[in-house]
Amino acid sequence: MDSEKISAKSSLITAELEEQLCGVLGKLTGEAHLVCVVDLSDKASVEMAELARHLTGLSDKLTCQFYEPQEAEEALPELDVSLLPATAIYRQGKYTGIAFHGVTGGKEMNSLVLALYNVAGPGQEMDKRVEKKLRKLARKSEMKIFVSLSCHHCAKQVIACQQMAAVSEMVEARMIDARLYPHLAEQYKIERIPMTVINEDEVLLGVKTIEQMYDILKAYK
Amino acid sequence: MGNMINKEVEPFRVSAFVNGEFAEVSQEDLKGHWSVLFFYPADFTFVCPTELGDLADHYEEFQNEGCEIYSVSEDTHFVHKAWADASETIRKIQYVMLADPAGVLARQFGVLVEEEGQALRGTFILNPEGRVKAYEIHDMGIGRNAKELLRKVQAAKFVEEHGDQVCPAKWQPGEETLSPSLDLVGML
Repeated sequence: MDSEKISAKSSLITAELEEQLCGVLGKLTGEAHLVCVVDLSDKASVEMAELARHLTGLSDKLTCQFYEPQEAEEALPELDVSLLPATAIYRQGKYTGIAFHGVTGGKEMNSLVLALYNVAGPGQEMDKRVEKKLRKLARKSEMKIFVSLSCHHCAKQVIACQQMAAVSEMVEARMIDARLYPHLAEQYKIERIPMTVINEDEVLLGVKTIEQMYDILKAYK
Repeated sequence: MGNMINKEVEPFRVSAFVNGEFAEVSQEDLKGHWSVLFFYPADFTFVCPTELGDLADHYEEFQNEGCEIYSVSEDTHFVHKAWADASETIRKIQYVMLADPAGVLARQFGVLVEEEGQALRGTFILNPEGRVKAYEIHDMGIGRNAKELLRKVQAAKFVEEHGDQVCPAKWQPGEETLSPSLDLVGML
């Protein structure tokens, strides 16, 4: 998709926020690449595309690429493009397992920025013992974290799950704004958030520590 | 009386009428499970049997939540029995009906109208340690809803189990996207 179709200025990023973002993104030591799968006839997709373009324009360590759903289905089979907008973080051409379904507005801007910080480096601190254990996970696990953009607890859970994904290739952590996908809210009977669904099997409510989630993931052989 | 949240039930011992029998109930009986103390003004009144019958209809659901119900009025246990004998609605009640003629419980929970010797419509949800986790007090004529009370018990249990780290999912389709806010203090 031609990114010139997308405004480089997001109405969601104010001058004050832009200044804060520059402060954080200025600390990046490596590179990260955002892939956005968007349907530009949809308002949420346009919002996310503009936000991604604006955000990545604030750092020379960040790049961004846009795909239409049909293009992405063929080119990016690793992504779930049934929930648009879908934004994923890549490192050195490889999907990190970190994705966002919906617009990363509200509290979820924290999740997106920290995910970039964790992927590009320097990254948030993590207990070395836990990090080592995460790197040894043998089975791929997928975590869907259902959130609401106004929920401050939700961002904490998304950040923790995606920090795990930034460390381990075996972990995929996808934020899903359940407001945008009511069929999922119904399917998973979501009454409280954050709600994390692990491997379509286990359901966690509330904010868990990385160690607590590791203990669950390691049980999957 | 000030805020009752987290107040532990004080020692008491009262008579009770339960399933056609007389019994004694103390503060210790309220512990080890969730409890609802459901005060009402007096037996043989009109709004009360409606409320108590509504509670009786949902009693099984409260039990499924591990919650016991104790209705309380300033009548004796003998009056409770007489009311059950006279009213089909009251006869079907399986939960414990506490008798508080001396006003010990009503005074402890701040619902006793001294000059009338009757209790306001107070509802107190206690955790298994006997501490008040939620309550409401209505004036005499304002009835309560058992289903809403059940929801509150479930919410109180949920918070006890999961802490306060969850939010109710009340999103509305079509809402505007929230403006982003950055709060990364201590996270980098």
